[in-house]
Amino acid sequence: MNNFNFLVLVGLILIIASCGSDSEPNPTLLAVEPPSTYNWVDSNGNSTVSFSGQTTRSRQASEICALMGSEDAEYNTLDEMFNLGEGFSDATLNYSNSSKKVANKTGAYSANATAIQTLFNSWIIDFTSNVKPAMVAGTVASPGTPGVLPDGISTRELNAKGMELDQLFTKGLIGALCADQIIYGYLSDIKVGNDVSNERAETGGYTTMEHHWDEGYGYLFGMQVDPTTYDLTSTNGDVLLYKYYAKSNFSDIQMPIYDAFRMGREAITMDADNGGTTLYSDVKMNEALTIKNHISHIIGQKAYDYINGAAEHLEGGGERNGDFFHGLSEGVGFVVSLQFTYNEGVPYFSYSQVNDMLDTLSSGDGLWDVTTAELNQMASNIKSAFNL
Amino acid sequence: MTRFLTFCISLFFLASCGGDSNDNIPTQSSDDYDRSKCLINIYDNIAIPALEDFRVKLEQLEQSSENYTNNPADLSRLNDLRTKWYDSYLAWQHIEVFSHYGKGEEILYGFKMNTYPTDSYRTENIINGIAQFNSAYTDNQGFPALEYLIYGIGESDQDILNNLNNPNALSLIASIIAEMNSNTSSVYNWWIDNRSSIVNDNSSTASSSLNLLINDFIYHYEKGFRTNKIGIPSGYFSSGQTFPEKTEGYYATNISKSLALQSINSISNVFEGRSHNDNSIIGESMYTYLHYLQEGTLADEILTKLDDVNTSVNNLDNDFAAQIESNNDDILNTFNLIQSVVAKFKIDMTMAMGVGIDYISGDGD
Repeated sequence: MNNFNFLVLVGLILIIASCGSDSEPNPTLLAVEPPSTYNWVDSNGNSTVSFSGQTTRSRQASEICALMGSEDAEYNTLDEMFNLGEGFSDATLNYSNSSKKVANKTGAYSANATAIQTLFNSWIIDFTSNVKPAMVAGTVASPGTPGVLPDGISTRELNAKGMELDQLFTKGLIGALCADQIIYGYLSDIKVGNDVSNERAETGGYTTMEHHWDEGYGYLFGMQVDPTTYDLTSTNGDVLLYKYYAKSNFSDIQMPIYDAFRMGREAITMDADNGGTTLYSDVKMNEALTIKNHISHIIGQKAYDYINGAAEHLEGGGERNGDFFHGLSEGVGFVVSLQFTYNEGVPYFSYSQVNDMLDTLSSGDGLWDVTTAELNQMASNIKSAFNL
Repeated sequence: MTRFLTFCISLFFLASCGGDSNDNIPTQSSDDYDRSKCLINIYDNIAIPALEDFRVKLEQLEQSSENYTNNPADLSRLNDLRTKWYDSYLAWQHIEVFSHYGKGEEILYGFKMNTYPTDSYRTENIINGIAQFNSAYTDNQGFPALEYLIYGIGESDQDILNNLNNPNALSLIASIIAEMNSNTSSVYNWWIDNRSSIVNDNSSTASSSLNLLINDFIYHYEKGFRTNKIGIPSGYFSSGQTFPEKTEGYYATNISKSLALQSINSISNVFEGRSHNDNSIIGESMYTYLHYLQEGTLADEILTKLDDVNTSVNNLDNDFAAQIESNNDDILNTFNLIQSVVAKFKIDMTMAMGVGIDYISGDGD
């Protein structure tokens, strides 16, 4: 036994000694100090940051979401925009030019991707088949009947369940597209784990791992006028995650998310510049975790706010009016998004838990007859899960 | 004991330092092998006969569907349509291996003919008059979309007949088959028109005929055969969560094994250079090319393993969906066997031949 230990020890020393000879002795870990803005260049001075595909998808989503509340919506148009990536007013967005579309990245990392995509498609059909004709005819919405309701200076267009489908679609995509892609795609092991290539070509450019990280960044910041930083005063037409990121109730996590993206990218780049080492892998993964937690918090908080707000409205004797349906529809969309959050490896609410909530919200006459008690229970479950 | 330990430690030592040397980089020399002999055999004796055979089957499918449309309440006509669908699906397995090559790649031939699971939701919407057939949707056409119509659209045969007896459904069947025929003609014509440029290419550049063909062959083995037929449904790519409904031929039931066996036969035939019409005739191929390169051991090893894959597939349930439900371990074992050949193709064989892999495994962005 003593012999064995001794031999192993000798062996290990041999390995360390012989392999260390042509590399740096005991690499010293340097402080990770990213540039002050999200901007890296290679030795030729060219930017290595690229997330044009994410910007394209976010812009496609904006156009689709806008059409989901419009009298001009046609099934074929929306269907092709969402599922084929064709037919946008800005032709550069079209799949034939961009090779990008939204549907195949909707809930893509979920085991239930097909069912989730079908859910979004069912909203397109419900809107174009039922809601839009009612809008054109000027039907007033009532339980079981799609139509419009006034809400201040605007009107709300509701399906038979009292749901505003553009809100379901848009807030649902915040989770199904942005969070799913960032959390379960680009910032996960499959895209930035140590098996992913992080060696820079002699000609420069980005490494595969750098690019993946940047693509994750792009799903949050990609639509900004200057996407190397963030401007809380303007969403620049981004209706998805950035719109909520920029809201004042998240002021305590705005900079931490941005900083974590910069830190993680710098850690990856330091490893890349070492020839593809994994010395700074822990930094990268810690920053990724910070981002995942904070993004999940945004979704959890908004789901709670809207559901709880609707419950309080009813408790205060408020009537089920345009404002009520609008806010609660946003809540329904955020409930859909809950299944793409992250809590130590799994979502805070699973696919089937989310479906149970959706069943409660849509059973009977849907939002026309959902009870205060049901809303309170749901809000309370979300609050305690996210520790809000 | 001491000796053994020393030996182990030495191995460990060698392994841990191996990364610094360049031993693993292939010498990119172009050999003297006449690549066009290999291309001629694959072209004349495998690809073209398989395509011609498939075209005949598709014609029969089209005739049968016209016959059915004339009397859509007739179960015997529906059953004939099912038979013709199945016959052509079997024949397709010999085309799929070439489906990403040349014209096929350009028009997404393989994806349009055989993307499963099919988008049954869209199919229902078409029947209900909400959506229309649109050939841009790869998951709403080809064999799987047709399968859903003739097998999956009702619980019983009578339900299916009732649901199909609808102008939208009948016209969808016709549209799907017309699209399959038109894409197949366009691929076939491309092959015919380009024989000389395909087979007379003796070069070994990245865009040479044989390099492209081998790349598409390996891609098919990895994606079309391994991942789609076995990997995804068995849960290999989803941490064990299984998807029996994502098997090939799910709605028809009991045919996934037959389809997979045709597919592995087709892969072995192309690798070994066996004639499509007469399996006893063997010509120039990747197999003989490897022998020429003094890599006979590798060539024989691949062949043996492909035989093992065949046996392993053959031992599965006729219906993979049922197999997944009853004993998924067996199908995972088959997956591992298939997987053991991927590296041989993708690394060992391509290195020996100096063929670079031109696709990446994941869905990049």
